Amino acid sequence: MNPDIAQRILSQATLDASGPFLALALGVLVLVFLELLPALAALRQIVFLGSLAAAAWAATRTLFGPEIAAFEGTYVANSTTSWWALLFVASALIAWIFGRRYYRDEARFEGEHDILLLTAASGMVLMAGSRDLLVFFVGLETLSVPLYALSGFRRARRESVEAGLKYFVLGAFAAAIYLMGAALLYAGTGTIALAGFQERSELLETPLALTGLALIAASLFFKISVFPFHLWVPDVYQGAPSPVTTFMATGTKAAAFAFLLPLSFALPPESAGLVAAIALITMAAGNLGALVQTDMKRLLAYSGVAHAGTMLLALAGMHADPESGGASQAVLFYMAAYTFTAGGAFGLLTMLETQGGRPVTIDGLRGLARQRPGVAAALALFMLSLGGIPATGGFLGKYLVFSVAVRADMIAAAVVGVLISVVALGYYLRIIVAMYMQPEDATRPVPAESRPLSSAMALACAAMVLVLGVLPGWFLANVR
Amino acid sequence: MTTPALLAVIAVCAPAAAALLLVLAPALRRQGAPAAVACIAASLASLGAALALALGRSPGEPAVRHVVPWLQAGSRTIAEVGVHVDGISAAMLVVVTLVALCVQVFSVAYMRGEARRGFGRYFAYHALFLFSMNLLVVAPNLLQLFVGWELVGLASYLLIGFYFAKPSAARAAVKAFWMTKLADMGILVGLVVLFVSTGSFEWTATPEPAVATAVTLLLFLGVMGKSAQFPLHVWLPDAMEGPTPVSALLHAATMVAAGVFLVVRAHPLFELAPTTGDVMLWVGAVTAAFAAGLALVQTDIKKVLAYSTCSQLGYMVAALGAGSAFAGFFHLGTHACFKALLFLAAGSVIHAVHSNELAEMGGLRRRMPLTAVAFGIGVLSLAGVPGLAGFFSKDLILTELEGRAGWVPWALLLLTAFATAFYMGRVFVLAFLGAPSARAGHAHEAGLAMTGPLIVLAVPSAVAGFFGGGLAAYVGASYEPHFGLTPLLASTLALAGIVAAVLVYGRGREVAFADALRRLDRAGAVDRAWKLLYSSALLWLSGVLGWFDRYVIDGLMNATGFATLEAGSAVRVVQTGRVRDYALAVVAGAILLSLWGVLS
Repeated sequence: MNPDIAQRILSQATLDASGPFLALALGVLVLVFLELLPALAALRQIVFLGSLAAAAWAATRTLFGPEIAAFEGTYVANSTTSWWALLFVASALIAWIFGRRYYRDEARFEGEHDILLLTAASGMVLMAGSRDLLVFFVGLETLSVPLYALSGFRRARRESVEAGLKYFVLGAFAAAIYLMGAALLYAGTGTIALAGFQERSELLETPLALTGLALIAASLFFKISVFPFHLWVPDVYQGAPSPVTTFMATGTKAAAFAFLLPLSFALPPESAGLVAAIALITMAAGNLGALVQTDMKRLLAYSGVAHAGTMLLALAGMHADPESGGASQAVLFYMAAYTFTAGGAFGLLTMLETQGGRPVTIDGLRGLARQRPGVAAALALFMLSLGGIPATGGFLGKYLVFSVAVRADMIAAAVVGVLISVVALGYYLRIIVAMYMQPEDATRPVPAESRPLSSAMALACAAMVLVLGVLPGWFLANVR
Repeated sequence: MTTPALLAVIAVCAPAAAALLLVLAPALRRQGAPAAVACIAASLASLGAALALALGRSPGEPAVRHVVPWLQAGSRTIAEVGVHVDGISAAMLVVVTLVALCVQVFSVAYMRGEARRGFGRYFAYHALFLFSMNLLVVAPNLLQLFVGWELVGLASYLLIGFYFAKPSAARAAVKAFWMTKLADMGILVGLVVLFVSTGSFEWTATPEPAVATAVTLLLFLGVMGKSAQFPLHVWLPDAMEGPTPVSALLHAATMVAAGVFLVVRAHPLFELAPTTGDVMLWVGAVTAAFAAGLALVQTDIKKVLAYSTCSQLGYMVAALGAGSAFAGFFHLGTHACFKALLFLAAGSVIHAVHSNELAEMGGLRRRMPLTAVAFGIGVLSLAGVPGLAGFFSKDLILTELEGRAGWVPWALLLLTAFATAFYMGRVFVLAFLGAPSARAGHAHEAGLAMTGPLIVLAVPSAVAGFFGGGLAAYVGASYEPHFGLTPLLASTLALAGIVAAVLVYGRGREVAFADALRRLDRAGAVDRAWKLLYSSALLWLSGVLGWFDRYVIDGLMNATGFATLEAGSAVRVVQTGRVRDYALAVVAGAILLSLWGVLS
């Protein structure tokens, strides 16, 4: 190799910029190595957690500094990408902690599970930092392929295998659409770098480039589960193992948004109305779908679709008025609140599912407040936050998103969005009513074992939801 | 933070900490005794801070303010919370914490018979009250004052209804809440109007004269509720259902005076609105005279004192209406001392004879000499006998009213001064003189916990008047006791009232017009008017609204809900579970997006 190139690539700036990714990737390598030596299996958890901690530490180093570009500008690290990285770490940690002791039949493959989880997390970090269509694609696949495997991880269960397969087929489909879009974009503009698009913005107006952009948008919309690309979500979320669903709902969505935000300057401003319409339809489809569900995971899957729609509204606002700013902050804050809220909610469901030995339904939650007041209170808090009730992080996230839309003069869209959000309370409150106001489900088994780690994680999520809702000042001041 | 600000924060936060502790540690509260210790310790700390604060200030020193932003909209601060320390708030803090401490110590003995849980609950409420009252007193703006105002209202509700198992107490608590809340709407609207017109909640705001009149009238509506002014006074006599120490603290000395305090605080605002001043003048005078008349025929010792409180608050409001904030504030201070003293002495009597009825008392001066002396000092002070505290403050008010509104309020209040001496003389004669009743025969003085606070409060009730000049200088007003015609008339009338009471009731007689007053009292005209308003207008209105809500709103809601659920089911239809259908949707979406991109 030319030493000059090696020096350019391996500079201090490169190491700083790609620190979080390197930490996770290194963790994966060590874990794979440990798999070969069963004697050292005890080190697995330490390596996993250490890798996450190192990634978080590396991310905080670039949290407040200036933007660092690496690998010829195809990858950057700045305050925003560092926040995203922290969020992915949190998401992986939540999924991992709630996943402890979840897999009974597959217990001996837990090492693989951790490797896949960590690989997916590294893919997310790569996606958030990429400023180049191909780097992003590498990240996307690094995320997606492990997730396909994870979705089908409970290979003894039909639903899990079905979810894995569905996700794989459709995901591959979306990946193909993405590559097609990237190829057309390259054909139209002669570049695949985001900076290049900015320089040749006049070429973006050509039909070839526009088609390419539309295809890329379609595949990203697939990842963040926006109408009409969301149909896989309920099936896959319900069928996948619950910890994986936790990770998918929070992390994947965040990673796709993390790239969509810097990419969106390339979309023509006229598309704002279309994006807003898609956002509203998505919110409606998600909330209406959730309204008639009885299975909790499926219900939260639809709710996640609605939340993706809400965040998309901020993106639409940014299109309509790029100067207004705040969209990136709104989405990041919204996603953070959603990660802890949905992560906590899915996590508690995982816990109940493990203890009850069967999927959790709304009916199955009846009278939970009397049997397990702590779990019911936390779940109620998460539902209120998902519904956007004040004093929770979910409320503030909604507030920020809708104010971006209002600032961009999309007042009608904001009003309709708020009204659609009200529908959501219909099913969130139904869950609280079931837990607090309905007679107990006598058939519910009494939990045999306590889960201190999961309980602590749920508590931490609840605390974060409240902190983001009550004392958001610090985050709002530092998140941009 | 400067030292005065820190002391004020301590005065507010100590009871808050006690209240929080008692809420968060139910086990501690239910023990009873620890709750009392926590509450009294907090009050001691509060009193200490207040005293240090008040003594550390020299007269005429500028106000010390320490605020932190509370509500922010963008870069603009809508409201602040914090402390505002000047002569008025420092003096008021001392009065409030001193009386509160006396009452709480007294309560330890008075409430001894309570079950432990109730005992703890009682002191938890007291801690909440003191926190709220201090929050109100040190408020740097009208918004924080209103927050404290509502919280003392809550504490009042809880304490009136302390014996909630007793239907009359529960009713009285609800009534007090209802009446004061009705009045508080005035403050709420007033604050909104003030904010909209001036962009601030400061009492130094200067709105247009018309706006100032509207705002102050609205604020005064709240004052009428809290300070029991005619015709919103009806809750105060009923509030006597609460334990007697509560009546002494909340419904005589401090909470009901919060209304007067608000006007004193917001004096710059009220000065802009002479019309409001006239209204206050008349409302105060009428309340004073009306309540004094009703006090004359009460058979329950606490009800006499309750009407007397209404009447004295009427004096203060009239003084404020005449534009003399200092006269009102001075009377607030002296009244707090002697009325708390009277209530606690009455509590001591009630504790001894187990009855509120004057008929069950009598001849107590031999059995309870200390209480008799304390009550006597209170009576003389309230009556305005020269040399005692009430004399100075009341005469200052009367002097301020000279010539106002054609001398009519002046004459009314002068007449009230006579009536006051007369009904207080009556109470003293019936309770302490004459032959003891069956119950009173076995009465005896309680321990030091009860008599101590009486002694502590008796001192300022007697001599506080001599410090009027000092207080005036302290709060930045001027006051020179002068002995013109009005004080001469008033003190003659006061002495005459007492002598007349002794002559009439000492011989077991009754005044000729007592029957007429009694009929008026029994008729409860004001109560009835409110009831009528409530049962006819309000219930009718809520009936209509209820119908509208049930059939129109709920109907719409149900229709919406039904339609939404149907739509939800429709969404399900596309959810076939087949991968090829989902892929089709993805392709369709991608094609539509591309088409839009190319065609637009």
